[in-house]
Amino acid sequence: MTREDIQGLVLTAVAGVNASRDADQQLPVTPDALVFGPGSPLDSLGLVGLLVDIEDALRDAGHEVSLSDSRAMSQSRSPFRSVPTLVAYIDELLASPA
Amino acid sequence: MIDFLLDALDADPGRLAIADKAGAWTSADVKAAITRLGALIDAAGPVAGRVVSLEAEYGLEAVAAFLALTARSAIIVPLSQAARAHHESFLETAQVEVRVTCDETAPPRVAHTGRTAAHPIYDILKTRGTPGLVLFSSGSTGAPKAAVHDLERLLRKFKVKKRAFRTIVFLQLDHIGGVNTLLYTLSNAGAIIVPSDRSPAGVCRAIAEHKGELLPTSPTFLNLLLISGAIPQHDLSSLRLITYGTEPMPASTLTRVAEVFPTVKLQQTYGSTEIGILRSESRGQDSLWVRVGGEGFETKVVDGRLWVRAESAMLGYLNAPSPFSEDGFYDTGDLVEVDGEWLRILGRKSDVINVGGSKVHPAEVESTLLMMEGVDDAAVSGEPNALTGHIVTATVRLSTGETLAAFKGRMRAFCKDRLESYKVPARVRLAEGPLYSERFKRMR
Repeated sequence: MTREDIQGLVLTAVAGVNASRDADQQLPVTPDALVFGPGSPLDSLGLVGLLVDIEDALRDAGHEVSLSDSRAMSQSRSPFRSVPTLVAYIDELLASPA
Repeated sequence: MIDFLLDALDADPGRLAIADKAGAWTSADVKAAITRLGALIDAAGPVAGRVVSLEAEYGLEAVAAFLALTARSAIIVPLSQAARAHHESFLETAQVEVRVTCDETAPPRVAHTGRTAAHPIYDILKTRGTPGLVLFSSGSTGAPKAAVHDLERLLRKFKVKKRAFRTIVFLQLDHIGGVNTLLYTLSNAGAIIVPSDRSPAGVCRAIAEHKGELLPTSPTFLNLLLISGAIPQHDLSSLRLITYGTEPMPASTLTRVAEVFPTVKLQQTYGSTEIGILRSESRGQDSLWVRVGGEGFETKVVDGRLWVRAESAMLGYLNAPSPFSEDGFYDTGDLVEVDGEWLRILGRKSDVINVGGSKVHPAEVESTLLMMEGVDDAAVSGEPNALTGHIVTATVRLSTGETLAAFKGRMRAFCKDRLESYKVPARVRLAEGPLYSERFKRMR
């Protein structure tokens, strides 16, 4: 998968999560948007739901990855901070052997 | 020992007592079968105090053999066809000495295994000279535990006469609920109706054909019955009472059952392999609040968990330490809410999902999912997650043909105002096969 593919998949998942969120709690669906942390309305439960959706979409594309495991937690900079950091993290996971 | 059951059969020899695959049998037929099976057992040697398996399809001969063995103070190990895969290990765990087999392949037969049973719990029964009953618990983890009951104590409560019903047999004789149904029905001169198969259509057919009045079942089967489309195709007007137990009832299923069967009384039952079946009373038609106990039972709630002390409790396990406290109470492991003398069963402590410190009862989430259009069944469990400890995972069976993504979107919108956000399943799987066990209990 190219970075563009991954970005498209992440943005589709964000838009999917928005469908069940209140109007004033919407997440921006842009390539540079914040995802989790200061400045984002997403709480940890919302993040878990988003990550599971991304995992499902990756599985549909033939890639079995786990996003919210201890590996993600142990990163010095959260990979979930923004769309670009999330895309980079997924790209890294897909490139490295499981 | 079983005189009061025989008296109930003698009272009206011509009435229907058992309807099974092979035919319809009167009280006199049952009485004759008890004599016939008794003679067959006696011909193979005495069985008092001996461990005897009863490997049987539910029907006239199984019931007759059960009663004949009870009258002879045998220690009975009922093994249903459904649990066939476990028979060898069950025979070994229970140290079965004699096997009685009643199935469709050949006439009833008795065989010795060559084993000699020796267990301190069996010694108690031999000293008392009372019949025993060994039941295997269907625990979700670990090996099934073999619970030994003094059958004379289980029989005691049936000496008090109650209402007779033509009863659909749903649980087999290897389940405490199945034994309870058999003894209740026989002692009150009711009739036992064995459906030819336990599908919704099979059960509806049996009710219609034999004018069944009582359907003792599980919430999972009731849900299956509701979605099966079988109800309007059969005359179920003879039904008077539906009892449900063995697992928490989803509120949404109970509401629908009450709508579909407006004239049928709905009653929750409560019990376990270890303590027997308690008398129970539901607060109202579609109420999940229940009063349990009755003569021979004491209950208490400690830290939200239900404890029961019962005269009819088992003597102990053959293959596990005693689960009773020093004063004889048994921790059911069921979490309950209390309102005066009424209880609401929330679910097993071991099933509770801890999501970031908040507790989720699978039954509540399942109940909500079952209210959604196109959801035929739902089973909810927890899954470890590095962010929140656990997440809620739902496996659903859909009749809509939606994609996973489409269903998830619809589910989140549906749950938004009905469940706290931590209870909404984060992961969803679409199931193809059934989500329930042989005993119609939801598998999570």
